[in-house]
Amino acid sequence: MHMVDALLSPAVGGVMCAASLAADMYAVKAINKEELSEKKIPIMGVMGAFVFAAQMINFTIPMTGASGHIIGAILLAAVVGELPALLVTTAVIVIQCLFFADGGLLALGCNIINMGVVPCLIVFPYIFKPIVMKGMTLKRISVASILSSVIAVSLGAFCVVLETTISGISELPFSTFLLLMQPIHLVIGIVEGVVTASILCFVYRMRPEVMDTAIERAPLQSGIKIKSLLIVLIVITLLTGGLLSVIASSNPDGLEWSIEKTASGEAVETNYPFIEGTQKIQQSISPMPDYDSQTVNDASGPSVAAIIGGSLTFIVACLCPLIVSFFKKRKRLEVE
Amino acid sequence: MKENIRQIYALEQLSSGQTVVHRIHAMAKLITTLVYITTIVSFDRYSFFNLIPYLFYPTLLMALSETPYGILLSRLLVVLPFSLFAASASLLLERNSVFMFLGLKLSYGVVSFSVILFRSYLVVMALLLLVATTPFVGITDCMRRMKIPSIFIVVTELIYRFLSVIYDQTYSMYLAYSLRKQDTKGLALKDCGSFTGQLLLRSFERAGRIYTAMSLRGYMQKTEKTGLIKMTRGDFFYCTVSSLVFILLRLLAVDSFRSFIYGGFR
Repeated sequence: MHMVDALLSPAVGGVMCAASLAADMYAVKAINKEELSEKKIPIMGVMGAFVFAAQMINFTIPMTGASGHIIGAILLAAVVGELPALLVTTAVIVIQCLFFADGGLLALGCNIINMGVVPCLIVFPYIFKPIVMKGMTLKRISVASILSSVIAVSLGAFCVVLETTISGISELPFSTFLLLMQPIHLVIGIVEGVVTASILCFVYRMRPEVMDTAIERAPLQSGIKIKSLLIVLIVITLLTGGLLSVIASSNPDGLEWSIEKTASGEAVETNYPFIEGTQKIQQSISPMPDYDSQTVNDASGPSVAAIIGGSLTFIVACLCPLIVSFFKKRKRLEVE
Repeated sequence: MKENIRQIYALEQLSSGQTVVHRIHAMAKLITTLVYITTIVSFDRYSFFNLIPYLFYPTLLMALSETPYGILLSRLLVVLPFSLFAASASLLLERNSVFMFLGLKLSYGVVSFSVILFRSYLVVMALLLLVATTPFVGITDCMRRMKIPSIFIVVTELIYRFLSVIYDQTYSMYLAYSLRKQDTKGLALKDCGSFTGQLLLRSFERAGRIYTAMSLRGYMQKTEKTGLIKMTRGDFFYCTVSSLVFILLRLLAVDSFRSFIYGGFR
């Protein structure tokens, strides 16, 4: 479920980063000091390492050709509590991104929201907890685990579809993408639910105190309600989104805009002084002045120029490392 | 899992190199990578030629840091499927032809498909090169510099270090399991829950002992008071110049993109 940068627009990435940062700041503020005892910290570390390792194991989903992995956030929340679980999930996603390049850097916010905030702050407190709070039994733990995991994974997948569609990079229509994603993630959710249930049942039988402390934690001890946090998150999302869209609209380069202008045969004009300035610089330094849209008369002209220019750049870019390596090798041989 | 953990430590081993790229401050590399990725993803899905100049960054960085291409490529192949999935959709859904190339009629889908894959290649390579040239300490140092709460940094460090604990524990438990059940291959489904639960409980105890030993040796004090490595003028220079180049390439590309589409449509 890890999203990659290549399918994300900067606006969506930026908004999600801001929202996930707010959620994590809330978690840091709201965690009680006694929750971070000498015993709890290594458990958080081990659980994080376990989830990290579990996410590496991809299982193939029959008939789809796709593969999936468990998210593990519900398991984490059940063992360490929802707020520490959010921090651990964030740390896992950061490590995956910065040490394994799994999931993008700009997509960090999206991944934290989809795999951390949704299961830990929405599904766990509102689905898992109410079921097991009535009385902790193995049956209740199993039902809560399966239900929560299915909902958490499905909601996470829904968020992926939403973020990708809003980004507008992929051509997949929202409904088609949703229809492709949801059944796959329903299967992943069921597998995750069964795995979570079997692990939690075992842990509860052996060491009930591990789960009791996580479940019985009063969620409102910080004085901030999760509902308030969600409202804050929505406000941050709207504000950042609005701000980014204002910035983005000052530099339009959308395809529809171009097509509309070009299809009607009008010359494309710009009213942006900075872009005009950059165009002048580009024209003065460009080795192919005909590349300018204002002087295009021949249908194949600029495309061919673009192809030749692009190909040359590509070749030079590929040759550069070879030249650097050659000089490095020569220098090394001289030293030896 | 064994292979993945081996790959993580392989990348970490690469990060202990002594080349000019390794010597750049982690913060400078992180900011540069972020600007690089942001500028790349800010292009729309038909800007193929505008992305080509960005190829210089990963190729030069790879050569200067002496990072083997094979390791990066193997990681790249693991990360790419989702992009491939989205790119294939463009190939199928956008059939309007955009221009002729070498006698072939190319559709928007083909352009979009190539752009998604190319930009995926660029951003993943940039990220992998950041990982391969920056040691773990450098990243956590970055986090401290950004005033990220210490609990988060401690958890991040512990997760990374406890991966080996989980791996060792899994290996020894699995060895014991397979010796007891010689006739069965792999882990029986009915034993999965108890095996994993047992693995967690054992790892909790072992991690607790390790953490106590770390604390007794002043780990928490060290994390609070550790001296941050300062950025030099060279680091600032690298970060500023690279970022400016990326941004300039992005701004200058506006016109060329427009003329490319313009020409293609006529």
